[in-house]
Amino acid sequence: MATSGSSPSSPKRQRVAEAPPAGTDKLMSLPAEILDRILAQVPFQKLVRTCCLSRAWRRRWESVTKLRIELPPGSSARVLWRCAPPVHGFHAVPDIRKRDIYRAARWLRALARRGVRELTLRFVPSSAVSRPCRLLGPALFSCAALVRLHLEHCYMPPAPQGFSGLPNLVSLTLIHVLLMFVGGGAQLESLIAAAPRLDELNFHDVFSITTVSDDEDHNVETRAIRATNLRKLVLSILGPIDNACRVAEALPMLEEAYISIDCLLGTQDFVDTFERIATVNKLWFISLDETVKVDEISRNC
Amino acid sequence: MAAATDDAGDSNEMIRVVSSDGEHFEMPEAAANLSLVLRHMIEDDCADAAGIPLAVVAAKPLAKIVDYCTKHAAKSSGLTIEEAEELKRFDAEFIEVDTDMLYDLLVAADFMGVEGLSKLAVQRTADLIKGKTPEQNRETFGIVNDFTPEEEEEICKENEWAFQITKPPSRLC
Repeated sequence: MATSGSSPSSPKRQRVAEAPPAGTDKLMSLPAEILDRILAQVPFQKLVRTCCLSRAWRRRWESVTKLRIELPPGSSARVLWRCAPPVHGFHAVPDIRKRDIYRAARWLRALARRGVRELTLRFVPSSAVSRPCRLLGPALFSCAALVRLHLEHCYMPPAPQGFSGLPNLVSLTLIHVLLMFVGGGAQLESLIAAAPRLDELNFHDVFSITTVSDDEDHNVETRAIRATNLRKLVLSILGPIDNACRVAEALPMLEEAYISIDCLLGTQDFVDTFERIATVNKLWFISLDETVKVDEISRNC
Repeated sequence: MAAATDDAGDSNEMIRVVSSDGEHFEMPEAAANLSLVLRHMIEDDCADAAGIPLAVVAAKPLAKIVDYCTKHAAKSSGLTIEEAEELKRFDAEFIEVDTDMLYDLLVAADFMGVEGLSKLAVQRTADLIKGKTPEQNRETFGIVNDFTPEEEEEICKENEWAFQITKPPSRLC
Protein backbone atom coordinates (compact mmCIF):
# COMPACT_ATOMS: atom_id res chain seq x y z
CA MET A 1 0.00 0.00 0.00
CA ALA A 2 2.07 2.90 1.19
CA THR A 3 5.34 1.05 1.01
CA SER A 4 7.56 1.85 -1.90
CA GLY A 5 10.16 0.00 -3.80
CA SER A 6 12.09 -1.83 -1.10
CA SER A 7 12.75 -5.51 -1.34
CA PRO A 8 10.24 -7.69 0.45
CA SER A 9 12.99 -10.23 1.11
CA SER A 10 14.53 -8.02 3.80
CA PRO A 11 11.72 -6.78 5.98
CA LYS A 12 14.14 -5.53 8.64
CA ARG A 13 15.81 -3.11 6.25
CA GLN A 14 12.57 -2.06 4.66
CA ARG A 15 12.23 1.70 4.32
CA VAL A 16 8.77 3.09 4.16
CA ALA A 17 8.15 6.39 2.48
CA GLU A 18 4.93 7.14 4.25
CA ALA A 19 3.57 6.46 7.69
CA PRO A 20 1.71 3.16 7.98
CA PRO A 21 -2.06 3.28 7.58
CA ALA A 22 -4.28 3.95 10.56
CA GLY A 23 -4.70 0.98 12.86
CA THR A 24 -1.11 -0.24 12.55
CA ASP A 25 1.41 0.22 15.29
CA LYS A 26 3.49 3.18 14.12
CA LEU A 27 6.39 2.44 16.43
CA MET A 28 6.60 -1.26 15.62
CA SER A 29 6.50 -0.40 11.92
CA LEU A 30 9.75 1.53 12.24
CA PRO A 31 13.00 -0.20 11.30
CA ALA A 32 14.21 -2.07 14.39
CA GLU A 33 17.42 -0.05 14.75
CA ILE A 34 15.52 3.26 14.81
CA LEU A 35 13.07 1.94 17.41
CA ASP A 36 16.04 0.72 19.48
CA ARG A 37 17.52 4.21 19.46
CA ILE A 38 14.19 5.71 20.53
CA LEU A 39 13.61 3.22 23.33
CA ALA A 40 17.14 3.67 24.66
CA GLN A 41 16.18 7.31 25.35
CA VAL A 42 13.09 6.44 27.38
CA PRO A 43 13.69 6.43 31.16
CA PHE A 44 14.00 2.86 32.41
CA GLN A 45 10.76 2.57 34.37
CA LYS A 46 8.74 4.01 31.52
CA LEU A 47 10.52 1.68 29.17
CA VAL A 48 9.63 -1.41 31.20
CA ARG A 49 6.03 -0.23 31.27
CA THR A 50 5.83 -0.59 27.48
CA CYS A 51 5.51 -4.34 28.13
CA CYS A 52 1.78 -3.92 28.68
CA LEU A 53 1.02 -2.11 25.41
CA SER A 54 0.39 -5.21 23.31
CA ARG A 55 1.72 -8.73 22.71
CA ALA A 56 4.32 -7.41 20.31
CA TRP A 57 5.57 -5.04 23.01
CA ARG A 58 5.68 -7.55 25.83
CA ARG A 59 9.38 -8.36 25.50
CA ARG A 60 10.41 -5.64 23.05
CA TRP A 61 12.27 -3.55 25.66
CA GLU A 62 14.45 -6.51 26.58
CA SER A 63 16.37 -6.24 23.30
CA VAL A 64 17.32 -2.58 23.70
CA THR A 65 21.05 -2.23 24.35
CA LYS A 66 23.01 0.62 25.96
CA LEU A 67 20.32 1.40 28.51
CA ARG A 68 20.86 4.04 31.14
CA ILE A 69 19.15 2.44 34.10
CA GLU A 70 17.87 4.28 37.12
CA LEU A 71 16.34 2.06 39.78
CA PRO A 72 14.80 2.85 43.12
CA PRO A 73 16.85 1.10 45.84
CA GLY A 74 14.15 -1.40 46.83
CA SER A 75 14.02 -2.93 43.35
CA SER A 76 14.61 -6.58 42.66
CA ALA A 77 17.58 -7.55 40.50
CA ARG A 78 15.30 -9.68 38.32
CA VAL A 79 14.58 -6.80 35.97
CA LEU A 80 18.32 -6.31 35.37
CA TRP A 81 18.76 -9.90 34.23
CA ARG A 82 16.24 -9.17 31.50
CA CYS A 83 18.22 -6.23 30.05
CA ALA A 84 20.21 -6.73 26.88
CA PRO A 85 23.98 -6.33 27.17
CA PRO A 86 25.80 -4.03 27.19
CA VAL A 87 24.08 -1.86 29.77
CA HIS A 88 25.41 1.67 29.47
CA GLY A 89 24.84 2.93 32.97
CA PHE A 90 23.33 2.06 36.31
CA HIS A 91 22.39 4.44 39.07
CA ALA A 92 20.27 3.78 42.15
CA VAL A 93 18.10 6.80 42.96
CA PRO A 94 17.68 7.93 45.69
CA ASP A 95 20.63 6.79 47.81
CA ILE A 96 20.62 3.19 48.99
CA ARG A 97 19.59 2.49 52.55
CA LYS A 98 21.34 0.01 54.76
CA ARG A 99 18.53 -2.50 54.53
CA ASP A 100 18.88 -2.67 50.75
CA ILE A 101 22.55 -3.60 50.76
CA TYR A 102 21.79 -7.22 49.87
CA ARG A 103 19.79 -6.11 46.88
CA ALA A 104 22.77 -4.04 45.78
CA ALA A 105 24.91 -7.17 45.87
CA ARG A 106 22.40 -8.92 43.59
CA TRP A 107 22.27 -5.96 41.21
CA LEU A 108 26.03 -6.16 40.91
CA ARG A 109 25.86 -9.81 39.91
CA ALA A 110 23.37 -9.03 37.15
CA LEU A 111 25.17 -5.88 36.05
CA ALA A 112 28.53 -7.64 35.83
CA ARG A 113 27.00 -10.17 33.45
CA ARG A 114 25.35 -7.40 31.46
CA GLY A 115 28.66 -5.63 30.86
CA VAL A 116 27.74 -2.42 32.66
CA ARG A 117 29.96 0.54 31.66
CA GLU A 118 29.04 3.22 34.19
CA LEU A 119 28.12 2.40 37.76
CA THR A 120 27.04 4.73 40.54
CA LEU A 121 26.23 3.31 43.97
CA ARG A 122 25.61 5.84 46.70
CA PHE A 123 24.60 4.75 50.16
CA VAL A 124 22.89 6.78 52.81
CA PRO A 125 25.67 7.86 55.20
CA SER A 126 25.67 6.21 58.58
CA SER A 127 27.40 7.44 61.68
CA ALA A 128 28.68 4.02 62.74
CA VAL A 129 32.09 3.49 61.20
CA SER A 130 32.98 0.40 63.12
CA ARG A 131 30.61 -2.10 61.54
CA PRO A 132 30.92 -3.13 57.90
CA CYS A 133 27.21 -2.74 57.28
CA ARG A 134 27.42 -1.52 53.71
CA LEU A 135 29.80 -3.99 52.22
CA LEU A 136 29.51 -4.25 48.47
CA GLY A 137 29.23 -7.64 46.83
CA PRO A 138 32.36 -9.17 45.30
CA ALA A 139 30.65 -9.09 41.88
CA LEU A 140 31.94 -5.52 41.68
CA PHE A 141 35.24 -7.01 40.57
CA SER A 142 33.56 -8.93 37.76
CA CYS A 143 32.37 -5.70 36.13
CA ALA A 144 35.33 -5.75 33.77
CA ALA A 145 33.69 -3.45 31.23
CA LEU A 146 33.42 -0.56 33.70
CA VAL A 147 34.48 2.81 32.34
CA ARG A 148 33.21 4.95 35.22
CA LEU A 149 32.85 3.83 38.81
CA HIS A 150 31.40 5.99 41.55
CA LEU A 151 31.04 4.60 45.08
CA GLU A 152 29.90 6.56 48.08
CA HIS A 153 29.60 5.70 51.78
CA CYS A 154 30.33 2.01 51.60
CA TYR A 155 32.88 -0.69 52.26
CA MET A 156 34.83 -2.16 49.40
CA PRO A 157 35.32 -5.91 49.77
CA PRO A 158 38.61 -7.67 49.12
CA ALA A 159 39.08 -8.58 45.46
CA PRO A 160 39.05 -12.28 44.65
CA GLN A 161 42.36 -13.96 43.96
CA GLY A 162 43.53 -13.46 40.43
CA PHE A 163 41.63 -10.18 39.99
CA SER A 164 43.50 -8.25 37.34
CA GLY A 165 41.85 -4.86 37.67
CA LEU A 166 39.27 -2.90 35.70
CA PRO A 167 41.27 -2.23 32.55
CA ASN A 168 38.76 0.10 30.86
CA LEU A 169 38.34 2.46 33.78
CA VAL A 170 38.50 6.13 32.81
CA SER A 171 36.97 7.68 35.92
CA LEU A 172 37.12 6.44 39.49
CA THR A 173 35.33 8.23 42.32
CA LEU A 174 35.47 6.94 45.88
CA ILE A 175 33.84 9.05 48.57
CA HIS A 176 33.89 7.84 52.17
CA VAL A 177 34.90 4.37 51.09
CA LEU A 178 36.56 2.04 53.56
CA LEU A 179 38.63 -1.05 52.92
CA MET A 180 38.55 -2.95 56.19
CA PHE A 181 40.98 -5.75 55.51
CA VAL A 182 44.68 -6.43 55.30
CA GLY A 183 45.91 -5.51 51.84
CA GLY A 184 43.25 -2.86 51.23
CA GLY A 185 45.85 -0.22 50.41
CA ALA A 186 47.58 -2.49 47.94
CA GLN A 187 44.23 -3.33 46.34
CA LEU A 188 43.47 0.35 45.70
CA GLU A 189 46.97 0.90 44.42
CA SER A 190 46.69 -1.90 41.88
CA LEU A 191 43.17 -0.86 40.90
CA ILE A 192 44.62 2.49 39.82
CA ALA A 193 47.75 1.04 38.28
CA ALA A 194 45.78 -1.51 36.24
CA ALA A 195 43.71 1.20 34.55
CA PRO A 196 46.03 2.71 31.95
CA ARG A 197 43.35 5.06 30.60
CA LEU A 198 42.43 6.52 33.98
CA ASP A 199 41.70 10.18 33.39
CA GLU A 200 39.90 11.29 36.52
CA LEU A 201 40.48 10.16 40.08
CA ASN A 202 38.43 11.39 43.03
CA PHE A 203 39.53 10.22 46.43
CA HIS A 204 37.52 11.82 49.14
CA ASP A 205 38.08 10.37 52.59
CA VAL A 206 39.08 6.92 51.43
CA PHE A 207 40.57 4.79 54.15
CA SER A 208 42.12 1.38 54.16
CA ILE A 209 42.29 0.47 57.80
CA THR A 210 43.04 -2.92 59.21
CA THR A 211 42.15 -2.10 62.80
CA VAL A 212 40.36 0.78 64.38
CA SER A 213 40.54 1.34 68.08
CA ASP A 214 39.32 4.10 70.32
CA ASP A 215 42.76 5.52 71.06
CA GLU A 216 45.06 6.98 68.44
CA ASP A 217 46.40 3.65 67.35
CA HIS A 218 45.34 3.48 63.72
CA ASN A 219 46.89 0.90 61.56
CA VAL A 220 46.69 2.52 58.15
CA GLU A 221 48.00 0.97 54.96
CA THR A 222 49.80 3.27 52.59
CA ARG A 223 48.97 3.34 48.92
CA ALA A 224 50.59 5.16 46.10
CA ILE A 225 48.89 6.83 43.16
CA ARG A 226 50.59 5.99 39.88
CA ALA A 227 48.58 7.05 36.86
CA THR A 228 50.44 8.35 33.87
CA ASN A 229 47.38 9.59 31.98
CA LEU A 230 45.54 11.23 34.84
CA ARG A 231 44.15 14.66 33.97
CA LYS A 232 42.07 15.41 37.05
CA LEU A 233 42.82 14.55 40.64
CA VAL A 234 40.76 15.14 43.75
CA LEU A 235 42.64 14.18 46.88
CA SER A 236 40.81 15.17 49.98
CA ILE A 237 41.33 13.99 53.51
CA LEU A 238 39.21 15.93 55.92
CA GLY A 239 40.27 15.86 59.52
CA PRO A 240 43.58 15.04 61.10
CA ILE A 241 43.78 11.32 60.35
CA ASP A 242 46.24 10.42 57.61
CA ASN A 243 44.75 7.98 55.13
CA ALA A 244 48.22 7.24 53.78
CA CYS A 245 47.30 8.15 50.25
CA ARG A 246 50.34 9.47 48.41
CA VAL A 247 51.04 10.72 44.94
CA ALA A 248 53.91 8.32 44.28
CA GLU A 249 55.39 9.86 41.20
CA ALA A 250 54.93 12.86 38.93
CA LEU A 251 51.59 12.93 37.11
CA PRO A 252 52.71 14.32 33.76
CA MET A 253 49.28 14.82 32.16
CA LEU A 254 47.58 16.40 35.16
CA GLU A 255 45.58 19.54 34.38
CA GLU A 256 43.36 20.01 37.41
CA ALA A 257 43.87 19.19 41.05
CA TYR A 258 41.80 19.67 44.16
CA ILE A 259 43.95 19.00 47.18
CA SER A 260 43.07 19.03 50.85
CA ILE A 261 45.65 17.22 52.96
CA ASP A 262 45.91 18.96 56.31
CA CYS A 263 47.05 15.73 57.93
CA LEU A 264 50.30 15.96 55.96
CA LEU A 265 51.10 19.56 56.89
CA GLY A 266 54.72 20.05 57.79
CA THR A 267 55.88 16.74 56.35
CA GLN A 268 58.02 15.95 53.34
CA ASP A 269 54.99 14.15 51.85
CA PHE A 270 53.13 17.46 51.72
CA VAL A 271 55.94 19.08 49.73
CA ASP A 272 56.31 16.01 47.49
CA THR A 273 52.59 16.01 46.66
CA PHE A 274 52.77 19.50 45.21
CA GLU A 275 56.00 18.80 43.37
CA ARG A 276 54.42 15.81 41.67
CA ILE A 277 51.35 17.66 40.50
CA ALA A 278 53.34 20.62 39.23
CA THR A 279 51.90 20.41 35.69
CA VAL A 280 48.41 21.51 36.74
CA ASN A 281 46.94 24.68 35.35
CA LYS A 282 44.04 24.70 37.81
CA LEU A 283 44.62 24.04 41.46
CA TRP A 284 42.25 24.18 44.39
CA PHE A 285 43.94 23.92 47.75
CA ILE A 286 41.72 23.71 50.79
CA SER A 287 43.09 23.91 54.31
CA LEU A 288 41.42 24.41 57.63
CA ASP A 289 44.77 25.07 59.25
CA GLU A 290 45.40 28.78 59.72
CA THR A 291 49.16 28.43 59.77
CA VAL A 292 49.39 27.33 56.12
CA LYS A 293 51.30 29.79 53.97
CA VAL A 294 50.37 29.84 50.33
CA ASP A 295 53.81 30.97 49.15
CA GLU A 296 55.20 27.67 50.35
CA ILE A 297 52.90 25.84 47.98
CA SER A 298 53.45 28.16 45.06
CA ARG A 299 57.19 27.71 45.37
CA ASN A 300 56.70 24.04 44.62
CA CYS A 301 54.16 24.35 41.82
CA MET B 1 18.39 28.57 -11.40
CA ALA B 2 16.53 30.62 -8.85
CA ALA B 3 18.55 30.82 -5.72
CA ALA B 4 17.89 32.35 -2.37
CA THR B 5 21.55 32.69 -1.55
CA ASP B 6 21.22 35.09 1.36
CA ASP B 7 21.61 32.43 4.02
CA ALA B 8 23.58 29.85 2.06
CA GLY B 9 26.76 28.49 3.63
CA ASP B 10 30.19 28.73 2.05
CA SER B 11 28.99 27.55 -1.34
CA ASN B 12 26.48 29.28 -3.56
CA GLU B 13 25.77 26.24 -5.65
CA MET B 14 22.20 24.96 -5.40
CA ILE B 15 21.56 21.23 -5.24
CA ARG B 16 18.37 19.80 -6.69
CA VAL B 17 16.67 16.74 -5.22
CA VAL B 18 13.59 14.86 -6.37
CA SER B 19 11.12 13.20 -4.01
CA SER B 20 9.68 9.72 -4.52
CA ASP B 21 6.49 11.32 -5.80
CA GLY B 22 8.34 13.43 -8.34
CA GLU B 23 8.50 16.85 -6.67
CA HIS B 24 11.62 18.95 -7.12
CA PHE B 25 13.41 20.80 -4.31
CA GLU B 26 16.52 22.96 -4.13
CA MET B 27 18.88 23.75 -1.34
CA PRO B 28 22.37 25.28 -1.00
CA GLU B 29 25.22 22.79 -1.28
CA ALA B 30 26.18 23.43 2.35
CA ALA B 31 22.68 22.34 3.36
CA ALA B 32 22.78 19.22 1.19
CA ASN B 33 26.13 18.35 2.76
CA LEU B 34 24.36 17.80 6.08
CA SER B 35 22.96 14.64 4.53
CA LEU B 36 25.58 11.92 4.32
CA VAL B 37 23.87 10.39 1.30
CA LEU B 38 23.64 13.68 -0.60
CA ARG B 39 27.22 14.60 0.31
CA HIS B 40 28.50 11.36 -1.14
CA MET B 41 26.44 11.87 -4.30
CA ILE B 42 27.80 15.41 -4.68
CA GLU B 43 31.35 14.19 -4.15
CA ASP B 44 30.78 11.55 -6.80
CA ASP B 45 29.46 14.20 -9.21
CA CYS B 46 25.98 12.74 -9.23
CA ALA B 47 24.33 16.10 -8.60
CA ASP B 48 23.10 17.46 -11.93
CA ALA B 49 20.34 19.70 -13.20
CA ALA B 50 17.87 16.80 -13.25
CA GLY B 51 18.27 16.50 -9.50
CA ILE B 52 19.23 13.64 -7.20
CA PRO B 53 16.34 11.16 -6.99
CA LEU B 54 15.39 10.09 -3.47
CA ALA B 55 13.28 7.06 -4.22
CA VAL B 56 11.98 6.49 -0.70
CA VAL B 57 11.43 10.03 0.57
CA ALA B 58 8.07 11.61 -0.23
CA ALA B 59 7.60 15.32 -0.91
CA LYS B 60 6.06 16.18 2.45
CA PRO B 61 8.93 15.02 4.67
CA LEU B 62 11.49 16.09 2.06
CA ALA B 63 10.23 19.68 2.20
CA LYS B 64 10.74 19.60 5.99
CA ILE B 65 14.21 18.10 5.65
CA VAL B 66 15.25 20.74 3.11
CA ASP B 67 14.04 23.38 5.59
CA TYR B 68 15.96 21.81 8.42
CA CYS B 69 19.21 21.47 6.48
CA THR B 70 19.01 24.98 5.02
CA LYS B 71 18.51 26.48 8.47
CA HIS B 72 21.27 24.45 10.07
CA ALA B 73 23.79 24.95 7.26
CA ALA B 74 23.33 28.70 7.43
CA LYS B 75 24.23 28.62 11.10
CA SER B 76 26.75 25.85 11.36
CA SER B 77 30.01 27.28 12.66
CA GLY B 78 30.97 29.84 15.25
CA LEU B 79 27.55 30.22 16.82
CA THR B 80 26.99 32.96 19.34
CA ILE B 81 24.96 32.06 22.41
CA GLU B 82 21.92 33.86 20.97
CA GLU B 83 22.23 32.05 17.66
CA ALA B 84 22.52 28.70 19.40
CA GLU B 85 19.43 29.54 21.41
CA GLU B 86 17.59 30.54 18.26
CA LEU B 87 18.55 27.28 16.57
CA LYS B 88 17.29 25.37 19.59
CA ARG B 89 13.98 27.22 19.37
CA PHE B 90 13.82 26.47 15.67
CA ASP B 91 14.37 22.76 16.38
CA ALA B 92 11.73 22.70 19.10
CA GLU B 93 9.16 24.26 16.79
CA PHE B 94 10.29 22.25 13.81
CA ILE B 95 9.67 18.91 15.52
CA GLU B 96 6.18 19.83 16.79
CA VAL B 97 4.57 17.60 14.19
CA ASP B 98 1.92 14.88 14.20
CA THR B 99 2.97 11.25 14.58
CA ASP B 100 2.64 10.53 10.84
CA MET B 101 5.12 13.26 9.99
CA LEU B 102 7.33 12.20 12.88
CA TYR B 103 7.38 8.68 11.48
CA ASP B 104 8.29 10.00 8.02
CA LEU B 105 11.05 12.20 9.44
CA LEU B 106 12.51 9.33 11.50
CA VAL B 107 12.74 7.07 8.47
CA ALA B 108 13.79 9.74 5.96
CA ALA B 109 16.43 11.38 8.19
CA ASP B 110 17.90 7.97 8.91
CA PHE B 111 17.88 7.03 5.23
CA MET B 112 19.44 10.34 4.14
CA GLY B 113 21.94 10.30 7.00
CA VAL B 114 21.00 13.68 8.51
CA GLU B 115 22.39 13.04 11.96
CA GLY B 116 21.11 16.13 13.77
CA LEU B 117 17.57 15.61 12.52
CA SER B 118 17.70 11.90 13.33
CA LYS B 119 18.62 12.68 16.91
CA LEU B 120 15.96 15.36 17.16
CA ALA B 121 13.22 13.04 15.89
CA VAL B 122 14.39 10.14 18.07
CA GLN B 123 14.39 12.35 21.16
CA ARG B 124 10.98 13.76 20.32
CA THR B 125 9.51 10.27 19.97
CA ALA B 126 11.11 9.14 23.23
CA ASP B 127 9.71 12.23 24.96
CA LEU B 128 6.25 11.44 23.62
CA ILE B 129 6.43 7.87 24.91
CA LYS B 130 7.71 8.76 28.35
CA GLY B 131 5.17 11.51 28.91
CA LYS B 132 2.16 9.26 28.41
CA THR B 133 0.26 6.52 30.18
CA PRO B 134 0.13 3.16 28.38
CA GLU B 135 -3.41 3.90 27.23
CA GLN B 136 -2.38 7.28 25.80
CA ASN B 137 0.58 5.66 24.06
CA ARG B 138 -1.71 3.12 22.42
CA GLU B 139 -3.90 5.92 21.18
CA THR B 140 -1.03 8.10 19.95
CA PHE B 141 0.84 5.40 18.09
CA GLY B 142 -2.05 3.24 16.93
CA ILE B 143 -1.25 0.27 19.15
CA VAL B 144 -4.05 -2.26 19.61
CA ASN B 145 -4.19 -3.90 23.00
CA ASP B 146 -4.50 -7.58 22.10
CA PHE B 147 -4.08 -8.94 25.62
CA THR B 148 -6.92 -10.60 27.45
CA PRO B 149 -7.67 -8.84 30.75
CA GLU B 150 -6.12 -11.83 32.59
CA GLU B 151 -2.92 -11.62 30.57
CA GLU B 152 -2.67 -7.90 31.13
CA GLU B 153 -3.03 -8.38 34.85
CA GLU B 154 -0.35 -11.06 34.82
CA ILE B 155 2.07 -8.81 32.94
CA CYS B 156 1.49 -5.92 35.30
CA LYS B 157 2.20 -8.28 38.18
CA GLU B 158 5.33 -9.61 36.53
CA ASN B 159 6.62 -6.05 36.26
CA GLU B 160 4.94 -4.76 39.38
CA TRP B 161 7.81 -2.52 40.27
CA ALA B 162 7.59 -0.48 37.08
CA PHE B 163 3.90 0.16 37.54
CA GLN B 164 4.04 0.90 41.24
CA ILE B 165 6.28 3.89 40.85
CA THR B 166 3.57 5.86 39.07
CA LYS B 167 2.26 7.29 42.31
CA PRO B 168 4.78 9.95 43.33
CA PRO B 169 6.04 11.36 40.01
CA SER B 170 7.19 14.64 41.54
CA ARG B 171 9.83 12.82 43.58
CA LEU B 172 11.42 11.22 40.56
CA CYS B 173 12.04 14.09 38.22
